[in-house]
Amino acid sequence: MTADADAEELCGEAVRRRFGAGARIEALTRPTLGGANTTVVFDIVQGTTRRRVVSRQTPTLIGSPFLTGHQQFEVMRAVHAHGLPVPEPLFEYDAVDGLGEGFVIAFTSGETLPQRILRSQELARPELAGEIGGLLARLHACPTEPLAFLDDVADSRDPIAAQRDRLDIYAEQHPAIELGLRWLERHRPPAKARQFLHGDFRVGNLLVDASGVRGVLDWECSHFGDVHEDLGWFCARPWRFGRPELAAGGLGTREALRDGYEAAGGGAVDLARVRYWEVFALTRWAVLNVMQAHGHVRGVRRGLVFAACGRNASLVEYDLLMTLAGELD
Amino acid sequence: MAQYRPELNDLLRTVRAFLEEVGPRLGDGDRYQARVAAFLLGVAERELASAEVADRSFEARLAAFLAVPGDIADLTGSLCAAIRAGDLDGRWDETVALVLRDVVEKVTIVRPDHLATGPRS
Repeated sequence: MTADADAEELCGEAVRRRFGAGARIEALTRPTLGGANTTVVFDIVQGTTRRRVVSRQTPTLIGSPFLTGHQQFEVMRAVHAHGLPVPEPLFEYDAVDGLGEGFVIAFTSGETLPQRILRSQELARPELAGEIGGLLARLHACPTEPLAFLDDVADSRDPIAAQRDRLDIYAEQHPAIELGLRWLERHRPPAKARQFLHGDFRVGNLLVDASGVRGVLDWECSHFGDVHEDLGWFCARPWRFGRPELAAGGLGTREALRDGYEAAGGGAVDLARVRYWEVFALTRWAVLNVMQAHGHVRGVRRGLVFAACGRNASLVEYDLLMTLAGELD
Repeated sequence: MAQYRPELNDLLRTVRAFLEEVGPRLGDGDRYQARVAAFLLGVAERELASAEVADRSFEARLAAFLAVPGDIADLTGSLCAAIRAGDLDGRWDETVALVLRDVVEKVTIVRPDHLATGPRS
């Protein structure tokens, strides 16, 4: 039996344990763009009803900045309960399932590939940037009490120190990242009230159809902090996909994103502060690329994309230093 | 030991050409992987062509900047530590320019098109 067939059998058994002996899984496919996680998509069939779901196995790697599968599931439950567009969390795997840590969520259709979204007039409507601002404002209004465990995430305590500590784990010298971290320390804005953040909110983690955003994906970086951190991450240069003048994900201007955010009751947005967090985003994205290369060369999980990330760190560093030098905005 | 033709850069280019040819015929996931594979071979070709010239010149600039001798690893380590400790805050623009020059050389190998990312709009 191959490893794939084995996993399929285990997924089927996990479904029967929860949905009854008559339940089965069908039409299993494996999207290959899942990064570090093992993701499969299948139908849960019970009698005449059929529901398409996504299964994610979420192994915890050493030096990983990501929430555990269990924590991600808890975050999605809270966000779903708050009425946001997020795939409905269905169940978590447990020790009996033999699939390690992970969970099953509802499959939501829509486009996630940024280039396809941006090329499509139907998807990339002029109003979309403002709508995404509004969605982010609602996301930031999620109550923090049910998610108190996020207090312990390094990024909740001090997002700059969190990146610096990770860089030290990956043990590669990066003067450009040091400059980013130092600049961030020296220009730290006065602290604001801490709110719930997605932590990886960008085009690419949004499921979009003609009606707008259908789902917000990838909750593995959620933490508490200044809402401008999420806004700055969304506007960071690597997520503009060839449209650098449209800072809000290549979809619109920072102003459009801000206006949508404020109109949805999200509180006043300070664009200077957004730009500060864009510098943070470039620094953090560089560190994340170094992390992927570290996992590759250490043999934790090797692959073409992880290898490319190591070299791509220099592209992010270029954007970072050119931004610090006032050459890019 | 000298090998018969084709040379190493030719081998890399030949494999890259194959990947670029078959890539578009593959399914979504494999097509993406093939594109990344071709990209990595392109990086290897450019790196091979540039040899060690860039590394040596950065080493010399770094030694002059820090006014200490050492090899590239030691000097880079000293630079990182000095930035982190705030010792170079008073030479900020100069430090950014020094590091940017090295990063530009890296990008020239990794993805030269990226340098064309336009100026402030």
